[in-house]
Amino acid sequence: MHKVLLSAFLGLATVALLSSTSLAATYVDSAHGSVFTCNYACHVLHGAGGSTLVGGSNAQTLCLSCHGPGGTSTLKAAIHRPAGLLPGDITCLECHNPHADRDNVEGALNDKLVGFQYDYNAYPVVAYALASIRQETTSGLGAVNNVVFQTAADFSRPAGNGPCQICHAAGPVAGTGAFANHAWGTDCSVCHLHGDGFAKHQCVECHDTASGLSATAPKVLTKAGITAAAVGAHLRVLSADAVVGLNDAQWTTRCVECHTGHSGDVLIPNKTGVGISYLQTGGIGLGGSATLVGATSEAEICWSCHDTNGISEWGGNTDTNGTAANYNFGGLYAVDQTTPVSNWVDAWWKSGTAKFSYKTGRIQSTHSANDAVVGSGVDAVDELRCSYCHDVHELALAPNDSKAGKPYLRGSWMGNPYREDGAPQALDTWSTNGSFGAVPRGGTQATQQGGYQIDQNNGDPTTGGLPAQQSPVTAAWDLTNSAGLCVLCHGNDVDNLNQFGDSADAWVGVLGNGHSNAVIGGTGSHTSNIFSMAMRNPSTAPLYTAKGSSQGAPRLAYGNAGAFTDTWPFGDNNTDFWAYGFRSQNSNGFTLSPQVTAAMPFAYRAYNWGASVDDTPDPHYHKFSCSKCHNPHASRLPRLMISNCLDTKHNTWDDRATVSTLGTTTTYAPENRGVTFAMATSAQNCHRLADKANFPNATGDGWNRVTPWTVEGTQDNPGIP
Amino acid sequence: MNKFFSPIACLGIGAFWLVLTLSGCSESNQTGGPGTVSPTLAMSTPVRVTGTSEGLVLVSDYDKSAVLKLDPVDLRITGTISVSGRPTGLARAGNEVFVGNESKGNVEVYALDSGGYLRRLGGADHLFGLPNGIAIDAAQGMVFVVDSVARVVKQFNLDGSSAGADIGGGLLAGPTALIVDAVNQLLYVSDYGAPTSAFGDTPSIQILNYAGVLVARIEGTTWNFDRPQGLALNGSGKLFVAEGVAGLVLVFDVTNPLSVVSFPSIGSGALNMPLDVYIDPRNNDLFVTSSLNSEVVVYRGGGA
Repeated sequence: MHKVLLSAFLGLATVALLSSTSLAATYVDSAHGSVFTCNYACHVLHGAGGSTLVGGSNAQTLCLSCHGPGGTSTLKAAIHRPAGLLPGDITCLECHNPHADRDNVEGALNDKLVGFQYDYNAYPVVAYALASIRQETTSGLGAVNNVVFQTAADFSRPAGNGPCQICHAAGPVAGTGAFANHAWGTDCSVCHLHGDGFAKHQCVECHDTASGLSATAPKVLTKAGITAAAVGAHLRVLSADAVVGLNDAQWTTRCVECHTGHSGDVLIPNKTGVGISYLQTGGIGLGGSATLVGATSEAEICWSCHDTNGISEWGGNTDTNGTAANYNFGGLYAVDQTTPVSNWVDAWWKSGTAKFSYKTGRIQSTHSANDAVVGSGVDAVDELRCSYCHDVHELALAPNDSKAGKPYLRGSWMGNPYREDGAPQALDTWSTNGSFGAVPRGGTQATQQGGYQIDQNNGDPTTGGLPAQQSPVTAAWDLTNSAGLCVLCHGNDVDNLNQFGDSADAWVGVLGNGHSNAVIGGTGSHTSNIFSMAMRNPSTAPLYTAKGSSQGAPRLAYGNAGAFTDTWPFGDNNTDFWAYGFRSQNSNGFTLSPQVTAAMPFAYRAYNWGASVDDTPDPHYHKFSCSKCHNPHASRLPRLMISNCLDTKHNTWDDRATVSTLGTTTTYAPENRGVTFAMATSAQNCHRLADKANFPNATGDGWNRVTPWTVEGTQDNPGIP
Repeated sequence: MNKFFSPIACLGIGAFWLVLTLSGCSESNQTGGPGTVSPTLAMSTPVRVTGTSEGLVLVSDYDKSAVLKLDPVDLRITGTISVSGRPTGLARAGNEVFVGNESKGNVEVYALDSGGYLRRLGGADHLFGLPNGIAIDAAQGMVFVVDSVARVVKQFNLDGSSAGADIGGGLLAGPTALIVDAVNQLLYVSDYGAPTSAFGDTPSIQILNYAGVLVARIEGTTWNFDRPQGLALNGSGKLFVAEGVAGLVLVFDVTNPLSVVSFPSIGSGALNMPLDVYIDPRNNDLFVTSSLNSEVVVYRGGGA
């Protein structure tokens, strides 16, 4: 214990101060000496009672006058008083040399004045060349040992010479017992604060809402009066685990099932923008006693526990879009395409709609949410950052996070209210075809799957049921409310929203970003006209000259016959002019099946999609949510896309026996010769992607270049990043 | 080497005054009357002390994360105001208690009666490096906060809005605590000093007017103090200063700040790192936080 003779120390200290030793550090280099002079900070030559310390105080009181409450230093310290030791048994000077940082045994300089030069417990006082600390135990003094402390991560070191290790064994570094893995890293001071004398603390002493030990620690729970219902899903591993009536130590056993203190095998680095900004720890530590088996990454830890508890992020899921509809958008499977799996990487995705089996394929893109990832595609599993989107303890530390419950998101997110798009398949029928006959998407009333699903045939979900092409999005579906989570990382500049590569490469259209005019939050500043007669009818047909003419080159929806020189697709539908087309009942047309149902070819009068017919693109005809097109986790398509609604290559409806494929007669306009109905000039699929490889006359470039439904593992435009 | 004062001196007689203490060492003193106080409220690390017009004594307890309400007669803890963080500076205005929260770097305002949180000065955290001292001129509606890291005094209105630019910059080197002389509109600021100070290393009590102009200094080298902490001013012009390392309360006559006179100090041998003093204006009882002894010591009539 501490038996220092002050006079002996003072003599040695004076020598040390006034004459440089062979060691690198001197007083003026130290944290104290670089600011304070001897006689200001600590010493007087003729102090009270013979003391050379100011105020006649003892060294510890002097230290605490600055480092204790009310003192001027931000480096706070309190007396270290382990169980069994009395006040004064361990003092500041037994770990610190107040005069200089000392060289350590590893040839570097210690920090924070750790390691003494003089052992005050010895008599006569012994000087040590290297930074040292004497072991002190409840049974007496131990040996003097070298100590290394260069950063806060050196409290416990692999070499065993960190300052805490002089006296303490941290315990095994791994294991599955409640405290078997107490060695949660090397910065012991994260839990054992110097500011309160390195006292032992349980997790809830900082992380309970009522705790005051740390104002900055995230408050994870309120243990007082807690009920099982109030606990939430992520304060225990198994639903049967007790959470009511636990004492502080028992809470720690709960916490360490997932967390390893503030370090551990898996560290989720801070990401301030999403509310993860833990300055003492650098992030969230995972890898607790219940997580390490087979799980070495954050995502694997989540998936493992979810699998154990029967929780899937696929198929029908948590309702996040209020009163809007919810659908099953498919799931992940092993390579056998039968066994459900949770791991995104290398998984196979199958649509939730059986007839869209052409989509089945391996995952092509994952959402890492990780700033360190700089390219699109499938990320390595240890790059996935679940916590950047999910706030499993509902701390609500991200901007505008309103604690909306499952799935514990850090911001607003409205799930997909649109049915799944898919190419019309053989034998598909639509119960309410209207005048256009039994074709896909003859009007907004045809809602059965097979074909595109947009606002107008899904009840205009983002505009409160009002026609999306005419109405603003409702408050519940503005960018803040429907995609606040996305905005945290991707920002709110929807016009220029583009995560990877050059958006001009990815989008069809000269202005290069379809988000701008089709997605909630866009202003339209990058609107491109991606549907025009020049695109659909490059041969310049149809050129109507009279009623009933140009039946082999009908315009979209058989419209526009009224304005013979109109260069726009839908033309003027206000006057009953007509052009016979492929499917007319009238023999002046081609009478192909399935025929329009009107006696006269007035089907265009039933056109009800609401797109205007003027010569400029419709502003915000679409008002899609982010969820309309993107899966936030993983997708069979690149760029997390779940939709390429107009890829006609997978349309098999045209192949059914009663549906004709157009022949090659020269009475058809050139772009209609030998193409399917899905690629005809009359087809109501404005931004379709034609199968030009098999139907070279077909027109239609789609609306983007990066999400084709190609053969599994193949991308149409591999050169586009 | 390090001799600690024993924490068992819960009741003693001072040099001139009756001394009564409350500390963590005595169960009876901690809990007072049956059923009135939870035993868990034992004092731990008292920092600043002030009082209310009703006679309650308020103490910020650093390690208890609370402001303790003490009965001035027997020093029973009669209630607490919970603070999420480490409370340091402390002042009162009417029914509101202003608390420096070291952990959050802010000054929080609580309702005295309910203990409910009301607001923060400036409306934000981390406005202060160390909000160690708070003083209020209720007549002017002014709150002064000494920031030991920024080495300035920040000014606010009682509603938390800013009341002007920081003062004391360039003068204060290691400020720890302050008090207002509302009559003369002066600030008395305890200052450890530092080589960066315009006055060198010397600790001092700096006396500034509300504009931040230095009026006078009480020099530590002249009056033999090194770690000046909390202060109190009585109605007859006596200034009481807690001296942290010497374990004393220094007493000066500052009727004329330019010509200070000292009196015998108080507390020798009884105080261990005193951090603040408060004088009950009703009876001049002097309350002193003895932080390392986990006590508040009262000298009956000692503030006269």
